[in-house]
Formats: sequence, C-alpha cells, structure tokens
Amino acid sequence: MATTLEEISQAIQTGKMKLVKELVPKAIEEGCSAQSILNDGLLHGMGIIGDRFTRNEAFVPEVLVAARAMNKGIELIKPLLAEEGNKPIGKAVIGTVEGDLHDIGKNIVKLMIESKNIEVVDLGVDVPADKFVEAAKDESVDIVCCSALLTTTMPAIGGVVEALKAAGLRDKVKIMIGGAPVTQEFCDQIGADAYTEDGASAANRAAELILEKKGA
Amino acid sequence: MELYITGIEHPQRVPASGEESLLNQLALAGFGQMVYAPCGGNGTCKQCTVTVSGRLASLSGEERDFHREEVLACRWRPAGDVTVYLDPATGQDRNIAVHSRDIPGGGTGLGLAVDIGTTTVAAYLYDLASGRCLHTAAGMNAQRVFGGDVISRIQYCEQPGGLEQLCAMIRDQIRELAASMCPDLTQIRSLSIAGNTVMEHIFAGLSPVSIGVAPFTPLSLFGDSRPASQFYDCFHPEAELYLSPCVAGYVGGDITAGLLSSGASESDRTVLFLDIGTNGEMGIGDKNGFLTCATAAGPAFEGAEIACGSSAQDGAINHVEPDLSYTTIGELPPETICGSGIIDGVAALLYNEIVDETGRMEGERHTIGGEVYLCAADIRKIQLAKAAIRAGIETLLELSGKTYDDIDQLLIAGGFGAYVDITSACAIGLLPPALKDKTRHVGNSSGMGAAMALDPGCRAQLAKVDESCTYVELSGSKVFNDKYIEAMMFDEWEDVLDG
Ligand code: B12
Ligand code: FES
Repeated sequence: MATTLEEISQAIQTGKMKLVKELVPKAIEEGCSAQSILNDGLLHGMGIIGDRFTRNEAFVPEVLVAARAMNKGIELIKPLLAEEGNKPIGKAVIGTVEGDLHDIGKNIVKLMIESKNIEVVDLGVDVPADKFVEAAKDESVDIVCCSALLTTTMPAIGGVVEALKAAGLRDKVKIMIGGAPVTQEFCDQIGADAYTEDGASAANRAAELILEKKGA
Repeated sequence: MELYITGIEHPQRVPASGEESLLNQLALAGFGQMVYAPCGGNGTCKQCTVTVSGRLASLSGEERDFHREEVLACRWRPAGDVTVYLDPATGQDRNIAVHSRDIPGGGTGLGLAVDIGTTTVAAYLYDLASGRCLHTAAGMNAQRVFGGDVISRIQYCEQPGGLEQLCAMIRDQIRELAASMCPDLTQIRSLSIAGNTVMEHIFAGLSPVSIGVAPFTPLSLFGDSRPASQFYDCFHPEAELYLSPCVAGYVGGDITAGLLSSGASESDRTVLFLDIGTNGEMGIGDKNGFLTCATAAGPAFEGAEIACGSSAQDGAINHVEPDLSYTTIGELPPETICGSGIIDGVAALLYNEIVDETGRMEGERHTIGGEVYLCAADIRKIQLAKAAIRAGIETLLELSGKTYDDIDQLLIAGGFGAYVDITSACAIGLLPPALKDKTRHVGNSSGMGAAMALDPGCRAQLAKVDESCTYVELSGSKVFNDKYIEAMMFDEWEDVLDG
C-alpha cells in the first residue's frame, strides 16, 4: 500500500487540492516531519508533473492545478517548517522583461523552481532592468531569471545583464534566461549564465547553479 | 565569392557576402518567396531549409564544406562560392483565392484596391464609373522572408535601413500587381489600401517599432487620403491614396474594412467577426459598435511551428477525415501538412482517441500519410494557438455581457474560413461548437472593404465604423487568462463529431 507521502505526491500530480488538504494533516499525525512532507510528498509530486510537461505528457492546465494543490499543502505545513528550521536551498528573482506582458511561461518556471525548495520572488511583467538590479542587491539572491516572449523584447534581457554588470552585481548572481524566442546562442551572445527550454529543466538548472555557487 | 542560385527556371549568379546570413542574401537577391522563414531568422522555427553545396560558416563560427545538404538558411553564411538549390514550390499558397464584387459607381478613371495581408497581398482593379471589378491579382507578401508574423517585420524595421527596405518591397509589389492588371498605370486615379496597423505603417514608410513593445502605441491610425504622388510616381498625377482606419496597434484597417464590407457594421443583431491569422483579430457587436481585440495565436494554423507543417503548397495534406483518410493539394503524394489539414488531423486524432481531452498523445507521433505525421509537441502548439482564439472570443462575450444564444452570426474573414472545415474547427474547440451552424465565410472582407472605400461615401461610413470600435487590451486581463487556460482542453469534440 502506498504511504501517505506517496499519496500526497499522487494527489499533487492529479491536482487534487481537497485530497491534499486531508492527507497533509494525516501525514503529520502519522509522525512525518514537515520537511519530509514537503520534499517527499508535495515537491516530489510537482517534480513528476514537471517532467511529464517536458515530455509533452502533461500541459499548462495540469501544471497549474498541480501547483495550486502544492501551494495549499505548503501553506498547511508552513508553521511546522519554520519550527523545524527548514530553509529553502537558495533564492531566485524572476520577471518578464520591459515591454513584455506575457507571464504564463514565467509563472510556470517560477512554480517549478519553487518545487526545488528555492524561494522565488516574482517581480511580475514589464520589469525594467533597474528593478531587476534593485532586487538582486538583496544579499540572499542567488539567481536572476528573465523571461521574454517577443523577439522585440528579447534584447531587453541583454539590458538586464548589462545593468547588473554596471551595478557591480554580475559576479554575485547567476543569470538564467528563457522564453519561446530565446536560444542558447542568444544566451552565449549576451553573456548570461544559463538558458533552458522549459519549466522542469529550468528548475533543475536553477538547483545546479545554486549548488555550484554555494559549493564554490 | 558568389552564390549560384539554381533549381529555378533561370539560374542566376549573384555576388555573395561573408557577413550576412544566406537567408538575408537570398531575400535581397529577390528569392525570398522561395524560402519559408516564419521566425524571421531568429533560429527558432527551423523551417528555412535550403539545399546547398560549397563552403559555409555557421553564425557561431564553425566552417565546413557541404555537398547537396540541407541547412537552415538563417544560421549559415557563405565562406566561399556556394550553390543554392531552391524549390519553387516552397512556401507557395495554393489557397489564395480572390473574390470581388461591385462597388458604387459614378467616379472617373480606374481605381486600385489592395489588401496587404501579413501573408498574402491581393489587388483589385475597378472601373470607377460603373463600379465594376475588372481584374484581380494576388501573391505572397514579399516581406514574408523576414518572418511570418508582424513582430518579426517590426524587428527587421529596427535595424538600419530595414524599414526603407520593407517599405520599398511592398510598394514595388503593389505596383507590379497593378501593372499585371493594367498596362497604363496613369489611368489609375484612386488607390485604397487596407492592412493591419503594422502593414499600413510599413507601406506609409512610418516606423512600426513602437507597436512592438508595451504599450504598443502606433504612430498613426490612418483613415486619411493623401496624394498618391507621396508614394508613387507611376499613377495618375492627381491620384489620391486612402489608407483604411485602424483601431489600435493590433486591430487594424483590415478589420474595420472587413466589418464594413461583411455587413457586420450595419447589422441589427449581434455578430461575432473573426479574422484568423497569426494575430487572430476579432470583434463582437452590431450597428451600434464593436468591441475588438487581438489574440496573438501565432502561425501554427499556417503550418509554421508544426514538425511536418507548411503553407498550402503542392503535396500538402489539406483534409483529413475522421477515419484518417486524407487528400493532398494537387493530388500529389503527401509531403507536408497545411493549416486545414492540421485542424482536421487533430480532430481525427481526438475522434480516434489517439489524443485525449488533455491533449496527451498516445505515443510520440502519429503518421497521417506517407512520412507526414503529427507529434505530441505539435498538439501542444495547436492547443496554445486554438486556446488563444477561443479565449479571445470568450473574453469579448463576457465583457459585452452576451451569451452564444445572443449571437446571430459568426462571420469568418480571410482564407481561413474558406479552407478550414468548420466542424473540425469546432471539434478542437478553436470555434465554439454552439456557433457551428451560425457560421458564414465572408471571403477577403478586408480587400472588399478597401474596394468599397474607393467610393467617397463608403469612406465616410468606414470612418464611422472605426469610431464605433472599442479596443480591449488582453495583456494583463485576468478574464482572458482564466479563459485561456480553460480553452486549452479538448473537451468538446464529442458534442460536435458524434452529433
Ligand atoms: C497567450 C499569448 C498571449 C496572451 C498573453 C497572456 C499572458 N498573461 O501571458 C496575450 C493575448 C495577452 C498576448 C498578447 C500579445 N502577444 Co502573445 N502570445 C501568446 C501565445 C498564444 C502563447 C504564449 C504562452 O503563454 N505560451 C505557453 C507558455 C507555457 O510557454 P512559454 O511562454 O514559451 O514558456 C515556456 C518556455 O519558454 C520557458 N520559459 C519561459 N520563460 C522563461 C524564463 C526562464 C528564466 C527560463 C529558464 C525559461 C523560460 O519555460 C516555459 C514553460 O515551459 C503565443 C503564441 C504561441 N502559440 O506560442 C503568442 C506570442 C508570444 N505573442 C505574440 C505577440 C505579437 C503578442 C502581442 C505583441 C500582439 C497581440 N496580438 O496582442 C501582444 C503583446 C503583449 C506583450 N507586450 O507582452 C507573438 C510574438 C511574435 C514574435 N515574433 O515575437 C507570439 C509568438 C504569437 C505570434 N507569432 O504572433 N499574447
Ligand atoms: S530558423 Fe531560420 S527562419 Fe526560422
């Protein structure tokens, strides 16, 4: 029989928020730590849906309902997580660049990065370069993520890279970029650190970047 | 260094540069029509293949020799003499059809009406005295090599000389279309042009760059007449040129013209007007005014972004039946699949439960005919595109406080309506099944509106239509966003295909 944590993971994958609301207290009662409910239940389920998204087996609506269920679960265990002293492994800021108002892809990337237990600050859409810089000044920020969906706003990502350089923050943070018109070639050209194609790979890469950074 | 361009009727040698991509050089040499480049050289659509022999360098600097191999024309530049084998069938649209009708007469001389579509350009020659249409002519928009959607054209205009080049291209193309119908251009005393806001900017030589980023403000909304001599020196010296009025950066003169010519703007009952192209413009309303928006569906319905997709060229699968039998354009062996085939194909895959209601495909890909298939990623792209159109419709409906019962007619403008099977379009949820039996094609309504605007009385009417249109910005709209996610599902086909 599946353990309660496995059931939580399942419930996340099918986006069953009500079930998550029942299962999380049950797991707590059974003596699971909040940490394990988070990692082996909630985030585990979200990771699986992310991988299915990458393989075209799941799509935007499924990712969003799964994320809603995940956030509900996290909300329930938040006080316990704080008690246990659980800390996210790192911190990222994300935004859609200036002139661009597309945010569905950015939101998915945000949710997937969160599912790696990374704290994400969402700057929203139409974010000017100096807003990214301002946010990156925060001591604890490890990664700056920029999204662009228009070929006309893609150059604004280069603008963010330059602004971070000018503010002396380039070596402090890693820069990750993406969005439909963005390519690895473009990433190399503007001197960003990483490009990935979709949400799940963005999350994996973000976790790697944080490990590299903290390891170094 | 030179390019030897062959595979065409009169092979040609042109000087080559080591600085610019093969795509740009082919475009500049006038062969842009024979390369399909929906992403405009961004390197993301992977459709600009040409066959080459010779030495080339990739944009990242790698150099090597090729022997009749396919490359992406936008990713490589010549590094020695290069032979390019073109295929004249590539990118052609067999579906271009031009319908015409009479306009009010009573003028003098000849009139030229033009519809500048992002994909195709259609021209109509009128006898202004009788109001009769004498000839029609059409072709693919010559700017297409710089990208399938308006944003790629805008982007090209951002580089030095880009606007001037695109402007000259469209003006030349219109002159050539006119000359093909009328040996003496000085007889043309009136010109009327309708296009989307970006196309009208480029034609007028105005920079469309501000339309490319938020808040998408155009330099002009047109709707005025000027001396044609500002643009041309070949027509009658006193000829005037009228540009159809635009509502906003993404709802242009093609839509106002379409609302007029389709009768939508005169209707007592509520009408939904839909122009399905890369930008999916639409309006809901009646004679008192229209609520309009644009939904950025992208070029998936024109075959771009789809693994085996193409425009409606020879050998393209253009229809697929529920039992998965199919037909091709020119009854040739299947080589690609075009928009109408893609929509039918997805409907058929749903019907056969090869794709489920979430859009998940059984297996990686499914063969439709020959080596032509639809794959799991294709289905996802179709979901993004169809949901954008549908969510636009749902948003307008909600904002205007109407239900489908209130809609008297769904008018579909442009080539899409004429070639796409409405049942399939409803089955995949692109169009609302509730309006399936209220749907009517209105042909090239933009071109017909331009033709009507050759008449001064109709021009006044068109100005009124324009004034009565309200634009809804979907960016940042919560209503749109919720409807968009909802509309990605394929949960309506049973209502349509089984019934
Ligand atoms: C939905 C949509 C809209 C909605 C946006 C709603 C919203 N809240 O976001 C609306 C209707 C408002 C809209 C408006 C416009 N749009 Co629009 N839109 C689309 C559409 C249909 C889908 C985009 C989408 O949401 N995809 C789904 C998500 C999940 O995918 P994604 O964004 O690519 O994100 C994934 C990856 O790219 C990656 N990723 C994304 N960000 C990041 C960031 C990082 C750091 C990383 C690592 C990865 C990453 O991971 C994501 C998840 O896997 C596309 C066409 C299409 N079929 O793709 C056009 C499209 C993007 N839009 C386009 C245009 C032109 C516009 C407009 C300018 C014009 C108009 N007609 O209104 C306006 C302007 C808005 C603006 N300034 O931003 C064009 C752009 C063309 C070009 N050459 O650049 C497109 C391609 C359509 C087209 N070909 O004409 N649009
Ligand atoms: S990849 Fe070359 S034009 Fe799109």
